[in-house]
Amino acid sequence: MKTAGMRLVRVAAVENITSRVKRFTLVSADGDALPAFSAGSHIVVHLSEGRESETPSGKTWRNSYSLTSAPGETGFYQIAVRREDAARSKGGSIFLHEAVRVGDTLQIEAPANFFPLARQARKHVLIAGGIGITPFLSYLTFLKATRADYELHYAFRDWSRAAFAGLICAEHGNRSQFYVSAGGERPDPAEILAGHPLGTHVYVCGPYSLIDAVVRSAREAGWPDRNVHFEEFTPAPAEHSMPFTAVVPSAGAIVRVEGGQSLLAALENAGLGIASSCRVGRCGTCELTVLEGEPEHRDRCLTDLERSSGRMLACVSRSRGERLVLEVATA
Amino acid sequence: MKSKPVYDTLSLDPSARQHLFIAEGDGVNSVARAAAVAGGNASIRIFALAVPSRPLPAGWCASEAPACTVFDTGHALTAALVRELRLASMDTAVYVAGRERFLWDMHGLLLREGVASTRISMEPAGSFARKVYCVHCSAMNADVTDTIHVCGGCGAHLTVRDHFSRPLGAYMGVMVDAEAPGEIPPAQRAYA
Repeated sequence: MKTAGMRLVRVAAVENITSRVKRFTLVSADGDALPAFSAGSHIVVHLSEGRESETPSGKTWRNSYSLTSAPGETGFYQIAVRREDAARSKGGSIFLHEAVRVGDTLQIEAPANFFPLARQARKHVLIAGGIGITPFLSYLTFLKATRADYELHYAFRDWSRAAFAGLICAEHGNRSQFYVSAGGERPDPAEILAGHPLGTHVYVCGPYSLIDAVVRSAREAGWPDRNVHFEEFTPAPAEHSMPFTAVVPSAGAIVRVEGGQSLLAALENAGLGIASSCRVGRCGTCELTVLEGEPEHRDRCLTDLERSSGRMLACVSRSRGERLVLEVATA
Repeated sequence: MKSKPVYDTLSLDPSARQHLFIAEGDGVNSVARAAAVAGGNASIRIFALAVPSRPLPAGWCASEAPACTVFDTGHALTAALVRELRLASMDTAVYVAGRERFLWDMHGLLLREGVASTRISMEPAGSFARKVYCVHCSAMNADVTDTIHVCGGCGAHLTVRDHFSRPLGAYMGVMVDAEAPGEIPPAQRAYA
């Protein structure tokens, strides 16, 4: 399923950053220059087991990864992928780690950015937990180059799992603070947020618990909401997901959505092209109209009014009942 | 007209903890009202600019609480404001009351000093005479009250539109006789 802005890239390098994190360097494979991007952007990588770009014979994934390379660098992109546990993921990162080699080609979507820097900010406070450091790598390059006032707080389990710690120490050591949880060090959001001048913006990326703690702390400290920014790599945790049936009359499709599968993925696997981007319930690109049935909303995007007027996001939201009848705008 | 400003009636922002009021001329009444409603618990600071034609009410700023300072000139107010904002914390909200051009002068300063736009409230008070920007020569025309104004910069007869520029803090003025030079309708008093 081709999306506008799709392009072919070739894997130019695969580096081990930590025992669980690999960095992939991607260069253009179709002769077109790679687009420049703003700090905080991500790309959606289309992966396919069967290696057939039009008719995948095995599993397929569309995974979103932050661009860790410099925003001005158009000769190559870099992404850092943490290998997730098989029990807790759909397998895309495992596929990247085990099956993708130097020389392979991948389909990627053009960069999009749901986590941009506030350009008018007078100071930037970055808080990263674990692999949440990845969007901040392009931030740090940009902030240093533009001589902005910034500070980084990076929390991880231990130094062996601190991806890019060496690079950060070398380039931004005087503006970085590290928290090693194995040693009992944890970032205290209230402490981190105290004492900043007007015009400071805070950005957090990492486990849901960290994001939640920072957002709450900022609100309690009286920060305006628009100065608080966060990016989630996975949607907020939800209870066990029940399977259900999605009916799309306009496409003549009746699709079974399994318990561990998102509505979006089920529709895509059934051949219905749905436009999507962040895939974690933030951007609203994958919005559908509900004709019948009661959706279970799990997004952080739609307003109550939008939800009550029959809209839902396919990437994270599900069904309360056995069946949803939907209208989709195909990509 | 989408750009025509919509204003607030000043009231304390519940998400903020430090409250800074800035009053000019007749705006002191709005500020006094809002600060009184706030009661003794809120952390309030007031800056007031005396306007020659509008002396402050007797007893204004006489008591210790809330903390209040009166300035004689716009420059003195601005300088003190910048000093105050450099020391202010992220939980600050700012409330401005006064003539429209004063509101937008303050708005620009506050944004430059890092105040979030959602933390700025403005209530107009006193004259609604407009600051008009001539699109032809870029001159600013102050205190315009009629629908048609002769530009002080280039002499053009400008129709004063409701189209408002926030960065300039001014309304748009465009030649009224651009299509038919010399045909100028009579001006009417529109905003006092």
